Amino acid sequence: MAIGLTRRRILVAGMTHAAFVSIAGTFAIAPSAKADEQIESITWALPSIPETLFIPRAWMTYTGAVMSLVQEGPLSFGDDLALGPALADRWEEVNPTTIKYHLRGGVKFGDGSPLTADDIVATFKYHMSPDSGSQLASFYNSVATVEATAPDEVTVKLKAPNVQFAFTPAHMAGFVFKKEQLADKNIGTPEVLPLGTGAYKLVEFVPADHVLLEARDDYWGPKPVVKRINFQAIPDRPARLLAMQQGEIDGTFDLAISDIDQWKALGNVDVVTAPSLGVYLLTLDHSAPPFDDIHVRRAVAYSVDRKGLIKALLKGNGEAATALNPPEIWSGVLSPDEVRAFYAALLPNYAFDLKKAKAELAQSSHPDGFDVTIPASTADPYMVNILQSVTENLKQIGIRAHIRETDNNTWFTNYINHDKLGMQIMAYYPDFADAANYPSLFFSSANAKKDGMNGSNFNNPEVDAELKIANENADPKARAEALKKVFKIANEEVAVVPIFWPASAMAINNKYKLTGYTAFWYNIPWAMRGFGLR
Amino acid sequence: MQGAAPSTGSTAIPGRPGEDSSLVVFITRRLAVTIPLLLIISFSVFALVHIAPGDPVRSLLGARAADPATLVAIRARFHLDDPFLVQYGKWLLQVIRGDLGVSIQGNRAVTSIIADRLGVTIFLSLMSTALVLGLGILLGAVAAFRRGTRFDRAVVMFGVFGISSPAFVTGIFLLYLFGVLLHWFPIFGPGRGFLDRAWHLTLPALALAISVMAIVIKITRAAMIEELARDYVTFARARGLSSRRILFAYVLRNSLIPVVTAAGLIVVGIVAGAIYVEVTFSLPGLGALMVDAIQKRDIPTIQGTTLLFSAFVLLVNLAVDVIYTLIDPRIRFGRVES
Repeated sequence: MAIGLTRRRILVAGMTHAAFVSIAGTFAIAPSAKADEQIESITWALPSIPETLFIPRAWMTYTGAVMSLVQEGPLSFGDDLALGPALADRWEEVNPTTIKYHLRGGVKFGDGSPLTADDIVATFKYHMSPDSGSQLASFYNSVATVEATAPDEVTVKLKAPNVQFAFTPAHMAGFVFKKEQLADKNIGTPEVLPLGTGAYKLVEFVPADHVLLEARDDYWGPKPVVKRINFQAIPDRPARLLAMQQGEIDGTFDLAISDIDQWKALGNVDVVTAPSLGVYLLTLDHSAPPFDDIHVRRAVAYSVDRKGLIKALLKGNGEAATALNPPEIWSGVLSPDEVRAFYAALLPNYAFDLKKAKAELAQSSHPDGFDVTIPASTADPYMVNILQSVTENLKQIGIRAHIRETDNNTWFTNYINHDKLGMQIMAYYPDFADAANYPSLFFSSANAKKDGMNGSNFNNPEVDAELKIANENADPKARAEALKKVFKIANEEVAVVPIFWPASAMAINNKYKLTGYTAFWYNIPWAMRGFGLR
Repeated sequence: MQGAAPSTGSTAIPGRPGEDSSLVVFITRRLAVTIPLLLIISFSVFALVHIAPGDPVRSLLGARAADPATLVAIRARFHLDDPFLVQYGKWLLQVIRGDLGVSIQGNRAVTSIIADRLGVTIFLSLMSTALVLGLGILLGAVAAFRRGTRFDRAVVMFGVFGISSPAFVTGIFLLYLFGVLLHWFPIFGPGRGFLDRAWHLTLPALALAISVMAIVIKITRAAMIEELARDYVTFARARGLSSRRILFAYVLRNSLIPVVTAAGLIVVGIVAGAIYVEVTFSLPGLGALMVDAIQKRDIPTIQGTTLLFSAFVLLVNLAVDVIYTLIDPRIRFGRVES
């Protein structure tokens, strides 16, 4: 985001509008195929199709996979995960609490009506209004006001500087609705299909079953390669595999990494992977025994066989986590090489070592070990398996750990209510790539309470102060310095025990290609990003 | 359930008016009993969801921190912070007005969601029931008629195989054989229009039927064997009646009583089995809806679907009792006993 803003300032200073559009065309919305190779239709499987297509009430990745082709936000994510233009062809940070979005001209909704600044204001205000019950409200917490300051200009004023807000207009929380439609109570049902400015429009929606999209002729951007996209819900994993083998579907998202070998074995299928930017971690409640003892926390950290887990569970499609942030999420703050050098220098590195684990436990106030029960969601493809390995290792050093398998809702409710936390396992996938996002959620004392993600109840004033800098200062250098300090302290204190950064995977029939697959497949118009005939 | 029916019926007709009106009284009385039953079921389910760990609103946001004001707004909209009895009372008042409320997860009226899903489940269950009863009775009857032959043994083996493999396992097998290898049937989706739907639902209905058919085969076969050994069959044969007439006019009719008695259980079993089959075959039916609603603690949807399901079970039992009397008028309303 900081990168976007700086890039933005340079452009505002020096470049003409036309020059910018041409750049945007190449880096944000790469032409997908030659004009002559239009594809009549494709069928795309999703594990589920929502009951409503109204994002504020159905905020799920599968809603995004459909609606990102229909709706757009003022900004978008490029293939490099950085912010790029979309409905706003340029944006500027007037001061740390004021952002102006300048709208592209000639953009129309699917019904032919023009996009106005009022539509964007209405969309933002909808999320901000507590009465609407929008599931994306938290992304607008830092906003004080949003106004149409000109027919083609929207100005957002923040309550306080907040660097992370810059990403909001680029993911699902920013997808723009037509103002009149937002007032319709039935929006999102088959009767009132949401309009958008995207390359496709909704033509048919059968809740929980399928959605049909049709390419628009009057789209402002490049011509869509595929004329019709049919999304089909296939919840059963083996059934999806058979459908792909049969050739009844052309692709699908969100493969379980543990199934990857089966998908690859189909022969007519390409499996595409990318870092998911997600992280699996253990949290240890610092506020109560036994995990208030740093030696106990270290003993746990040394007991996780990260490399073994990646080999066994992820078939190598992932990386052992040496810190909370996956390296790619530092984009715009630190270069990949700098991140890896920094992570390598973090000491101790808690690589799997049961001898060290035993030694740490011996030094602690619980040298003979203790009993601990760790809840895990059976809906997650890896949690229970990870814990089977971890508890086995812990038993070897004398910690009698047990897994309590629960359904997803029970597991998460227990975690977020901060009710008898002890040791917990957590899986988290981000909505945007910002280096301060994870540490703010998991390390800040403000989140060490009910409804907060800081399941370790980690509380460190120095970390809070540095996080404030990272969240308020747009300068990448200052942010990098602050976040490095945060990660150093978190590592020394064993704020959390990172496990791995899994890859995310999709499958596509090998007569097609899709080059723009990233962690944010559900936030971007994926069928417009390098999709075409091979 | 089916045993209780005739005796309930006999007390229901004090003055012995005409047979038609006695049937009406019988049905009316039985329907009147279902209302308190439905109340008890709905209250129990409501209570069970309430004491189960978890929180419906959390499912909406996944593993993400939520805005506190949003949580409050959503909880208020669905009355989640009211005391338990108040919540149930509000729900009940709504139901009396014909409104099942709004799904927390789907944000649509539960009645519309159920209406959308009902078609698939009814079609699947009817198709499966027809297969189970039609094919099951036929196989059972023929097996009994050819008792001890290879055909008989094959039918019995098929029954054992069917009942021992759950519908979703049979489902995947059928999908692979007839969908992937032979390309005869589609792999997912409920189809549109009658014929297309029948084509799409053939494999699911078959998977469901195979797992239940064994019961029908076994009951029919046993009953037929018993009937065939009776004196009246011997007398009928002695009178020179054709085997076909004996089989269809006498033996089959008499053998059907135990099948009809079990039919209620069979139909309910099919609908319950549909839950797994719908998930395996990616069918947007009520079973899939119910499983999803329970996982997400979507109370209004759970309540709506269980209410419908319980009403269905009660009505099937009533229907079985009525059909019972139609097949054999002697047992109508306890006349056999009197």
